[in-house]
Amino acid sequence: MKNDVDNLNKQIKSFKDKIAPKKKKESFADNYKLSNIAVEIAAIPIVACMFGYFIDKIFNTLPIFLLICLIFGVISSFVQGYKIITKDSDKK
Amino acid sequence: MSNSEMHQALHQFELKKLIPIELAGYDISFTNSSLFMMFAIFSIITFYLFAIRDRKIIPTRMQSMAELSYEFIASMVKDNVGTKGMSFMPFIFTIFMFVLACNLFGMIPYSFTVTSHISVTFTMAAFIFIMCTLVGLIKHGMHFFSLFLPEGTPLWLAPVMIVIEFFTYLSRPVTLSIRLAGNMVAGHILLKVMAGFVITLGLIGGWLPLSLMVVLSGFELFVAVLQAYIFTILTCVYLNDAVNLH
Repeated sequence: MKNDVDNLNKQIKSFKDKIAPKKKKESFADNYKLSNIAVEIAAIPIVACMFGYFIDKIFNTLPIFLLICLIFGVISSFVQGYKIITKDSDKK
Repeated sequence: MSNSEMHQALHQFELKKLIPIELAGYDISFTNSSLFMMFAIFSIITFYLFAIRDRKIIPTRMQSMAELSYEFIASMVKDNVGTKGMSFMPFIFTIFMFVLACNLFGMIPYSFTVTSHISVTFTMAAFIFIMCTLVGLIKHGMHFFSLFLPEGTPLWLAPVMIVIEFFTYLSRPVTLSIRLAGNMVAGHILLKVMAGFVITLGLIGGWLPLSLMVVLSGFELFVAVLQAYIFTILTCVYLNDAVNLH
């Protein structure tokens, strides 16, 4: 009985591995994220500001949400930049 | 760089109305951008129609190219999204071929680079963003929002991480569109400036920028293909988040 359950578990695991996305082979083009880190870092605070401005316009609270979102946007861009860099150094 | 030179370098990105059309107060004119988009679409359709016209077991060069391009995108989707993502294969394939054709058409002298306009790239990116969000919501319901909380985040840090991840998620269409448009604009401006140097320096000094232009043209061709690949692979990555979550 226990063997059957183990067998079934093995089959489920192999099926899951089969349908899950495969790990990519590293290629030259895989380093695209590092080359475009500037776009990622610059875009996030801009989008955050736009979002904050939009909320302020609705609730007539300018510039409270704009500033809050700007702060979170800057933090978010640094986190994203850090993630990209550390992912790249992990690969090496 | 003087103002007139700047104008010359940016002149290639100017939209020109070919058939002025106005509908309910909106300007929906047929422009040079629309024309080159149609060229791109017709060239893709014509290529594939010719390539699969006489299908053989031992493929011809054209059939081989069509099959290779299909295999390339299919493996990209399978590797990044898994077998569940194969239902999106026609969409991903269309995106890749359209962006690639537009980028390559832009390399023909006196043509128009459709993908150099943020309005075009942002429309595509926004469509992808909305589609991925809807797919995620339909497939996982409210559980889709767990995407904003990375695994292993301490509970006290969760509110901050959710906001941070939310802004990162919201910036996806912007980064996707600016990356493509920015790369295309930068490359084409550089080529035009180099061409300006060739004319200014004349027969004696113009050989150096001319040789550099040859190298840059090759590099631009590579960038055209690479940017189409990046746009498509990022679409796959975003789709993977929606289909498979963490």
